[in-house]
Amino acid sequence: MSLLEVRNLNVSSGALSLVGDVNFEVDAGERVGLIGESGSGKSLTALAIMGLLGEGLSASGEVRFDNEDLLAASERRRCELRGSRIAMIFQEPMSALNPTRRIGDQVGETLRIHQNFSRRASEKAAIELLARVEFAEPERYARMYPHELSGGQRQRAMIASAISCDPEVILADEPTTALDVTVQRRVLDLLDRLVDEEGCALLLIAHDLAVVSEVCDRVVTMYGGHVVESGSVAQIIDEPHHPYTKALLATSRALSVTESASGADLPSIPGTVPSAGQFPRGCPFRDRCDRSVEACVEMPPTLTEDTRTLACWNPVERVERVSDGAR
Amino acid sequence: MSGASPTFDLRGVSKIYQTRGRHGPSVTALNDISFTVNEGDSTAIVGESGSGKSTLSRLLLALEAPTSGSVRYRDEVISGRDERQLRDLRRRVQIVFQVPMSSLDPRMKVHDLLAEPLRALKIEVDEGERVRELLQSVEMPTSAANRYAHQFSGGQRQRIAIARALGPSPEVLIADEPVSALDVSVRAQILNLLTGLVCDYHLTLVFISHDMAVVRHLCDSIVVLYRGNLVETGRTEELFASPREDYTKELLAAAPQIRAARVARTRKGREGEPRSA
Repeated sequence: MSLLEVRNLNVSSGALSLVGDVNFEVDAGERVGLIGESGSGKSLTALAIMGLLGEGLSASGEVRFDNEDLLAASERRRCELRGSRIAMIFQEPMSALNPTRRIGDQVGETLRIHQNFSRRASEKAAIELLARVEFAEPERYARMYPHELSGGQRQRAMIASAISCDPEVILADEPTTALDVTVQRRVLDLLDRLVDEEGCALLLIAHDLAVVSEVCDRVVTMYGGHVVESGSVAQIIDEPHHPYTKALLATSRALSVTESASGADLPSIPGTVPSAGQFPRGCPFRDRCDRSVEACVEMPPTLTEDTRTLACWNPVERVERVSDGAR
Repeated sequence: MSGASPTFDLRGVSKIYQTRGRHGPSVTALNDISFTVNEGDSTAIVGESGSGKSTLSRLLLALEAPTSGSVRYRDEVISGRDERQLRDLRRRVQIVFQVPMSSLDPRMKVHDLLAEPLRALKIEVDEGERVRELLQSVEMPTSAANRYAHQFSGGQRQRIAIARALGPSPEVLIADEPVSALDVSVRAQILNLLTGLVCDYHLTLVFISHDMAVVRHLCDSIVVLYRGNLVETGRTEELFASPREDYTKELLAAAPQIRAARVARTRKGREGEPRSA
């Protein structure tokens, strides 16, 4: 049994299905990367796991955490778990942090709520946490407000808050996307180190397969609100079976600092991700897919083989995979 | 290129902002910067927040004047000129911003967004015809003209912003982080589009970015800035093959890369150490 098991998760807005039949699990201490373009349903999946879906959105299916179904749990029970055993790091720290409260106050808040720390004790703990996320003068930064920090510092403060109660799993939604490249490197390395030290599990949401391949053990690819493929990082990088994963990988590979310009166009995926409700019937990727066949008008079943899953009628052939791997 | 004067020629350019009044503390946004942008080249200005790259773009657009030094466009000093003298430059040099949602007026239809610069610069063309042409050049359907920017995806909005910049048939396109807010796959589409446009319209491109991977793919030469100082400049392939300065090396090392196995990765001080279960 895994620490976090997502079973047939559906998220809908009225009659409109936004996330459909999502299945994956995260083992204790494991790091799973959830990838896909904007509009693939990654963030909604994370919010459903956290129980933070906005007004008008509803989730069904199961989200089992330590064998307890969170979707069936009371709001009171969810509050107990949120922040203490399951923590989340958001993409935009500026909108996730309260602009009117000092950093130390916000980083220590989780401890006051979940572990009954006094104000003084939580402030002391916040300073230690800020030191752990590499603030050189934690006392000084604890007294500052979010707007006085840089983007990278705010994200590190968010990480400090997330690890404060020693969670068993951290959900990180594009935690470095809005950051400069050297700052992104620092935050990724910090997250990597802390997750290691804490021994907690990580669900990292990213659109860049490169980021996921550096930090994670396993990859789950989402498109159109569905999981289309999953497997270990090595499996997915060496042999993507789903045309969508393969296309994402080709772009990430071509757009790399180690790849000089070939003069040819960069590989890209034709068209754009449709808005919710506009995906084609059957396989959601079929109208952008270069391997689509007649069968794709029906939704492909998800097949499981050892540690991999795949939902595709016409997966990437072995021959192509080998020739692609040679580059 | 021998004998031809560069498109942009910056000599000893500094920009110092006074904060809190005339005698308040000052911030040096750019410090003694000199470089040239050659006609037909794609030049990258690489730097992170606070490097001065956006200040530099405002100097190239003559929206601001340098505190000292000179900015020349085709041998003419553009810094400190009044708007009347700059009329021609306003047409020749166009810019595309990072976040199209804040640079495109949400109350204007795409037709008006694309026609506005033509009207402002009093360019006499058949508006409807020109708008259709512009939409086609950025591979958007002509029906887009009757819709609003918010009805499009991030990548499509950036195409609209590019079409708007192309309207006055500029010689130079300044692109300020045009793809950094986009997903990897959409990023590739927009970069392909830019590459095609630069070639088709013989544009000189000034591409502002912090992403070395994007820059390597798109640009012929690179100017690296760090905290207002010019760190290093060179032809793209030479600079990638042998970066001289530590900061350039750091930028290259920081970029995420596809790796098949996380454990094999070497981490500072913990080389080869397997992760405890």
